[in-house]
Amino acid sequence: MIEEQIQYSKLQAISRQMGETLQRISRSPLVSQDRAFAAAIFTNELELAVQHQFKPEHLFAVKESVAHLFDYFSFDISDGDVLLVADPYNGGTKGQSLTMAAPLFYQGELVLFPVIRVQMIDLAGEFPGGFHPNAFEIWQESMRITPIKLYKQGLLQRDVLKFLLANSRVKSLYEAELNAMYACLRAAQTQLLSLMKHGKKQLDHAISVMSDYSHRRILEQIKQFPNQDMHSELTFNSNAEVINLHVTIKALKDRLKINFEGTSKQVQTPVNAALSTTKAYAVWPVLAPIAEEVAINEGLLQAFDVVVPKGSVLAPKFPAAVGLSTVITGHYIAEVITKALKNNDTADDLYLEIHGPGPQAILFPPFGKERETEPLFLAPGFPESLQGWGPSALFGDRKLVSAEELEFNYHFKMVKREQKDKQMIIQIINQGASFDVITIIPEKAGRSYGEIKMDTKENNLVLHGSTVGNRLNHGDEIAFIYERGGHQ
Amino acid sequence: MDQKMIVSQVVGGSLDAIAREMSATVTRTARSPLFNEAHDFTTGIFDLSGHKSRLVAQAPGCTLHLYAIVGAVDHLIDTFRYDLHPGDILLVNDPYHGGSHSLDWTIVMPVFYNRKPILLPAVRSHMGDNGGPVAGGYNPNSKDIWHDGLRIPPLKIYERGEKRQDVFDLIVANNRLSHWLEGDLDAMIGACKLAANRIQKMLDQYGADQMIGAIDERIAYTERRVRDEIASWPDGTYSAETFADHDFQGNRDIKLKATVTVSGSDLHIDFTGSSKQAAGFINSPLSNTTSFAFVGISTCCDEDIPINEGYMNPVRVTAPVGTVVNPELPAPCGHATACVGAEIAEAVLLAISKCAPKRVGVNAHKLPLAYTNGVDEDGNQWVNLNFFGYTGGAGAAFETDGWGLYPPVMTGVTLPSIEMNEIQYPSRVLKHEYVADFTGAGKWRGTPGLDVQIQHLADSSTSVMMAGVRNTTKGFVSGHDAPSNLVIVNYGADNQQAVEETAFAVKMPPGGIIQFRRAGGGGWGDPFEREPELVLEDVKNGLVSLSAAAKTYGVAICQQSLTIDYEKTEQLRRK
Repeated sequence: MIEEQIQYSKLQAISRQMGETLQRISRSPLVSQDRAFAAAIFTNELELAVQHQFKPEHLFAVKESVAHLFDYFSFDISDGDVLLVADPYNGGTKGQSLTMAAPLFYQGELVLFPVIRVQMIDLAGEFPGGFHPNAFEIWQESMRITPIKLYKQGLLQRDVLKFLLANSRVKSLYEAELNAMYACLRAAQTQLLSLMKHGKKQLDHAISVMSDYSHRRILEQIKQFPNQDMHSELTFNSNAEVINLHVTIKALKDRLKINFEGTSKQVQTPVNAALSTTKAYAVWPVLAPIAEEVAINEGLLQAFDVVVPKGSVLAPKFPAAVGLSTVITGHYIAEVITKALKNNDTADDLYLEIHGPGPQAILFPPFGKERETEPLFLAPGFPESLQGWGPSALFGDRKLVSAEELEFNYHFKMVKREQKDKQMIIQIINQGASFDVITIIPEKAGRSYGEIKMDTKENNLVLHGSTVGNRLNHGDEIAFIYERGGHQ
Repeated sequence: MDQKMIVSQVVGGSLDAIAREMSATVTRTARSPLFNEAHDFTTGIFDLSGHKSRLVAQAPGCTLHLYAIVGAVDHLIDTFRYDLHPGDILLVNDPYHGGSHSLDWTIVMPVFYNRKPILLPAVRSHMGDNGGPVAGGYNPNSKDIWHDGLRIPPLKIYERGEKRQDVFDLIVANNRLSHWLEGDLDAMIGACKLAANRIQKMLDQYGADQMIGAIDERIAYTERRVRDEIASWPDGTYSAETFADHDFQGNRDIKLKATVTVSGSDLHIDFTGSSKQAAGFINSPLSNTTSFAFVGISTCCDEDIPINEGYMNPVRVTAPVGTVVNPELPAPCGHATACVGAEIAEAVLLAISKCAPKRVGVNAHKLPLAYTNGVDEDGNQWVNLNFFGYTGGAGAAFETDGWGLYPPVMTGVTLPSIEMNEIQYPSRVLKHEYVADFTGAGKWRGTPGLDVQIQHLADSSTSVMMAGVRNTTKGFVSGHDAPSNLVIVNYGADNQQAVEETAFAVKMPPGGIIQFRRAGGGGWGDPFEREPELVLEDVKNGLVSLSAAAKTYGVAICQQSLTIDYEKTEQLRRK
């Protein structure tokens, strides 16, 4: 076991270094600040060997995106190929999250290979950044990138690259991101080859052992759950839609079955969650207590069986919009799971209340003025977790944007960032040019998740829901109010 | 006729026949009614002269595509110049890569001889959808090029004869009408392959040198004919301006100015003085501007002149960068093929009318575009362009009334069969008829205006983009301008809405009706000079009322006998 742990740790180091390198060389604040990415290594059987991630949404999406890529290209994958996919209906979560896989061949056979998944800054769509509160179909949110080869046998498909870049409002940054991802994957491939040259069989064995270990650890956890069907329901809102989530959890001998039968049908707003999103957010409350101790790998994923009715808000049919699912619906999925466990007196240490959505905004210069329009994803604070220790886990590992950075890069002066009682309040004055503002604020009857206030020369707005079409001009103020765990 | 000329005629005629065969192939094999019913596409054959392509032959199609294909082919060749292989098939739609609006896609297949690309058959088609924020691709809210839909810069969809399935699927995935698109692309590709086979045989028969020689001869012939026409106009500089109603973003009266300089057989069209690029989606990329300038020129020339590169050789177009006739990225261009395309042609013709009044008059049309979309029982989306609502608008010319429906800018585009339309869409055409006094009067009048009602039987959503309301289609040489277009959505319902400028995604229940009052074209010449017998004929046909006959044309007609009162007519006209 010690030998296997050492071997596996080397593999983990490669995966981790992929992520660290990406974070350091990336020009996108979504990567360098928000850490909206995941890095992983897969076996030749397309089993997840190891995964590092800083956002909850990636848990299943990396594996399922890779599966779709290999299903699509089947026996047409060669050494030097680099494959891309960014499609909620091809294993993904939301349109902007792009998976890049670099299949690796050793002595003519497919072997361990690296994969990176990153949220791109913009893939066209109606609004920069891809978050469109009024979208009802996927093309409004971003370009669909179905499985495509960016490199073919080591050769860049230059016209494909130009095609992709032409469909972004931030072409230069997009290209830099693709280059950064590619560089990280190539470096990881070199390291993997080096590792395999020193004993491929031992490495394969170590992956198998550690995957079994993760699986056992989860099963140990599951065994302690009440031996009964655990139900719960939750209702939330999106525009005029009332959405009901219904879950039944059952701890089986070899897995935890999470069944969302009874959940509302898909809706005409972008809170529909792709299947990979639903799985990730359903699993995290159970995983959270041991997440630091257990590696994310195939064994871990296999311990969960998530059943979702097709056509429901948690597994919509193409082409429903899904863009807000990771920032809104995911939290409600986690909450309904937590509620089911709590209602049935599951021991406190077997799950965690990790949900806690809050307001955020996407700001961008008015359309059509410049060749590139870079959105700013602004969440200058966080809703304090229910336990009172910093942000809720589902808020991710994003770094809190610094006042200096906002001032330097965007001419936004942060005049207040204070925490008192159960609130965090941030006030920012725009000392630069005009920005259009999209707000994303969770909605649930009888409960507040905070608000965004815009104090402009024309009017004073207090926003409690997701909106488009407001403008923040020079001298205007925007304030974010976060509520701890959602205020009743 | 010398042998060179004969070979030129034979080769040119063969290439024209191939272009026509391509056109027939697309019509018969495509799935979308835009192709198989409306014929909203153009086929052509190009050659390579150095690094620039030349239009060699074409089949009658959508004229406004014609010189936009030239730009698109040039960009394709420029991109792949050192990476072209037999079997490659190329695709482009991007307005900033030689396109017009991103709904028009161009497919090109180079044909090789002695290892060099010699001729390039091409198809340019209007697709039913282009992904992006709105179904159908016409987005009146568009503020940048991405709001218009998917941008496809030069891209290979076949490489050395092998389909790039991943690229193909990626394109199809970004389209709401994927069930049509795949078949439509295959139809375009099939037409190019068929042409490539035919051309290959011709190259084997004649050899490249003889074919190119014949093509040169043919292009030179066209150029001579066009130069002869231009040379018949008095030298000088002539300016005119016209206006587009608005840019769908609240900016009104967008100016299009054309200064035409005739110098011997050379013609320079300068659009300096036109408005800066607009916030809305009416901006015309250079290829589109050139194409509509060509529309203007071609209507001044004899119709038996072969359409090829020679047509524009005597013509130089200047369009300042950053203006509505040559915008910079990321200005939206989605509506350019209608607005400001129509105004570009109109400004050119108004300028030419000052030196060659008898050659102008048949102009582009300002159409009230309305498209409707919904989802069918199988879950497939449908987009109905409501063609019947805005067909029409042809203007008059010297010695001829505006005829039929479409003006020449749409030459090969046909009115879809109403019966087929009702099979292909959950729609009914309740009314489609000429109305009286709803066109530009003149010595020769515009084609009559239309009263059209289209009903959609399923839940649907309609967007309307009005044009020709504030600034209607112009008449020439004292001919009257066309009247204003009018569109009413949810016609007859409590919530009916007469659209002044634009309406976006108006919901209509099953049975909802769109009412079009589609104005006719502009007139040519003073209406008081119209032959009274022609006015009487129009009265008998219900195209002119008795009162308009008297007031507008100065022709007195007896209501009972429907005969002309010549004495009174003379009195009226003397006034």
